[in-house]
Amino acid sequence: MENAVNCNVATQYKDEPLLNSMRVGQRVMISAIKSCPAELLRKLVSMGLVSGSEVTVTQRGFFGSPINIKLFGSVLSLHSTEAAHIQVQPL
Amino acid sequence: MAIITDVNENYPRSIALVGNPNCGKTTLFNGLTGSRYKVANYPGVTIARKEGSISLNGGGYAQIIDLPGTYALLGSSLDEKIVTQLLRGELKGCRKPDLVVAVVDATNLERNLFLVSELIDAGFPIVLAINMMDAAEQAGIKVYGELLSRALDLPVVQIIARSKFGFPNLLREISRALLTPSSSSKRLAWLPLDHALRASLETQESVATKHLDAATITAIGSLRYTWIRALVKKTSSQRSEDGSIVSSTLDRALTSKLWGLPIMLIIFGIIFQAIFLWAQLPMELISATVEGLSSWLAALLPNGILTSLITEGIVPGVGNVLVFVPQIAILFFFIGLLEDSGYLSRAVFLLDNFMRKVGLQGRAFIPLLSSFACAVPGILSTRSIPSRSDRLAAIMIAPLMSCSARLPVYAVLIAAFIPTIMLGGVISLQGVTLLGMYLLGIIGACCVAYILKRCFLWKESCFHVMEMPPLRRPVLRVVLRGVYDNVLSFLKNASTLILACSVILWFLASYPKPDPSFTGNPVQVSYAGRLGTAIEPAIKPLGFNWEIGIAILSSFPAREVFVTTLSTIYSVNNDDNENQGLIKTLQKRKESGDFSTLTAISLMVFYVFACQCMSTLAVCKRETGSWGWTFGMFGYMTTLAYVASLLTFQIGSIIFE
Repeated sequence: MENAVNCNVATQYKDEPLLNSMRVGQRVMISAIKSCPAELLRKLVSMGLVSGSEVTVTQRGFFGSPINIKLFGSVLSLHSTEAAHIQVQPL
Repeated sequence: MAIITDVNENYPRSIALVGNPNCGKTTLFNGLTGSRYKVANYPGVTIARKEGSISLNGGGYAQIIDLPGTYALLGSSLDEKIVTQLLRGELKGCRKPDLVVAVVDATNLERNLFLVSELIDAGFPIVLAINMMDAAEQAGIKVYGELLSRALDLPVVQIIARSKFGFPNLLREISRALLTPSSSSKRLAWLPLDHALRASLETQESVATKHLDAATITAIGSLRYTWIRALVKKTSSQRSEDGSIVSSTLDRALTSKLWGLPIMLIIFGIIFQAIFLWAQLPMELISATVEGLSSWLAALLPNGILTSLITEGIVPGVGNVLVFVPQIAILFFFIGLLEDSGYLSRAVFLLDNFMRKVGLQGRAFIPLLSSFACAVPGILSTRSIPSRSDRLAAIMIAPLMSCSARLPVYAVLIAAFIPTIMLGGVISLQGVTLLGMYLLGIIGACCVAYILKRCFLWKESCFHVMEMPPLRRPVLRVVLRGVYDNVLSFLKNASTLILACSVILWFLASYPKPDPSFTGNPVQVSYAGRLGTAIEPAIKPLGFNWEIGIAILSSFPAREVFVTTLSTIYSVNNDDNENQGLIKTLQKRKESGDFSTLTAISLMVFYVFACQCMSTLAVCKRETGSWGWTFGMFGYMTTLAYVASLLTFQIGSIIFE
């Protein structure tokens, strides 16, 4: 597929932790979205997972996936591989 | 695709309802149309095209379409693409809507306004309906409609779709907007004036539609959300920053690692019990009525070909369709309850990890669950799976879930051949056998999915990301309406096909008539008998004789015909005109030794895997758009059925002899 694109914006935040390593109850601010298929990127962005958004991890499934996060007025459910595209700053 | 540009004044105006999933769009649609709407093609979950009409203020009416929920104009799943195409008038058979009613959830303004902002950029005339004002009030959220209306340059109406609050205002704004359609002046309002992005956006519409590179997508998304956050802060107030939606104890228990799976097993256990127990009485009533009607007609009408056609072909054929209605209704009732209450998303949360192991997605759970009732709505509901390769995998294995059409086959064979022993005094052997057939199908499906994903389907990024709807009390009216839609479409689709089959079958089993001097079985000389005898060598290793051969051949268009065929063959067999139940006949044959228990088990295994359903193949062709996958489905399932049945009978023969 043609849509795996590198997102240059991310390179400057190399050392930051990823959303999939966060524990339940942790509050974080999204700093960037790493290289990620364009369709997934569109989806994440349209749902509000953009840099500057603050989210709280509310729940994790068996072996840590899916990972549920609270953003705005509702809970989003992501697979851990998807959460691995999201760089965060713990708050 | 042809762009429909026909602006005939005689057409009624058309309105499209657009909004995020779970924003109450469908409730609003039902409320506005008074639940008088028609569903084009099969109703999947909310994927089917629903169309109704509303009366406008000042006379006249307008057509209104309920679109699938979407988060953005360039969504990736099929139903999200449909939204964009329909709004731009590119969808075949649909006119470009004259007005967009954007529905937003007041408790989740930020995410909902993202789509609205894209709609504004695309230049549609919009009326903004802010829904769930009651829930927002409970959560301590206040929305200042006047301010929002000015900030977005759109008419804004606050409503509560569930209780029809605010509907007169909404209708007034819709009528006004239809008379003087105008688009908002706030296009690209999120874009800081001197921003460098401006240069890269040649036309204004391109923002929502063009294929942009990743950096641009993220940059636009961030800017849009920054603008929206500021807008929401300005036009609404929230009592507390956080804590408005804390997951409840119930929600935590339903999804907990310890309790989640046991609770889910209990819930689905109860549902399956209910399907079989509750459906029993109405099913018996229906079949008794059909039998009564048949014998009443036989006594009333003069003897002849037509009477035989009616009493042995048409009436039992129609009865065989009707008999499924109780089960299908009960299944869709429960699926509706689980969906409307938000539980299905919790089940997906619990199962996602496991389903990925076999190459499926958590999202395939709903289609596969529906397939236990019927693979047709199951396959249709795979439209919500965004990745094509995952969708194909789900479509291909959906018919392996034991659908309700297999149930009569299992039921008759189990009742006739499996002894009514209680294992350990509590578990019935018959029940275990039935469960075994369901499990066999599920295990087969897992293997097929694994092989498909490994060998035949390309690897594609699949995503799970979705919104968890809040847990809430389901609305009975919505659930019942869903049951009605599904049962109706089942009847429409099944009745004609099965009716035609039963007439053809009656003909094949009755003609040509044997010579008066012929003393044997009259079916044996009929076309059906000849066909059955012809394939006997091929099915003998499976333990089947020519009679079963006929039944299998005749049930390739639809499985449930199996029971009818066997009854037809055996009742034609019987010289005495006693109305024997098929089960008793089968038990007699078991005693006489020409239908063994092993044959019955082998036959059930055959039915678990065989693709004997014309409607499924038709839907598969339509949804995959490919004859290759359709024949592939038929081919692999038939092969699997033959091999599994062969193994069952041969290994069983070795063990028992």
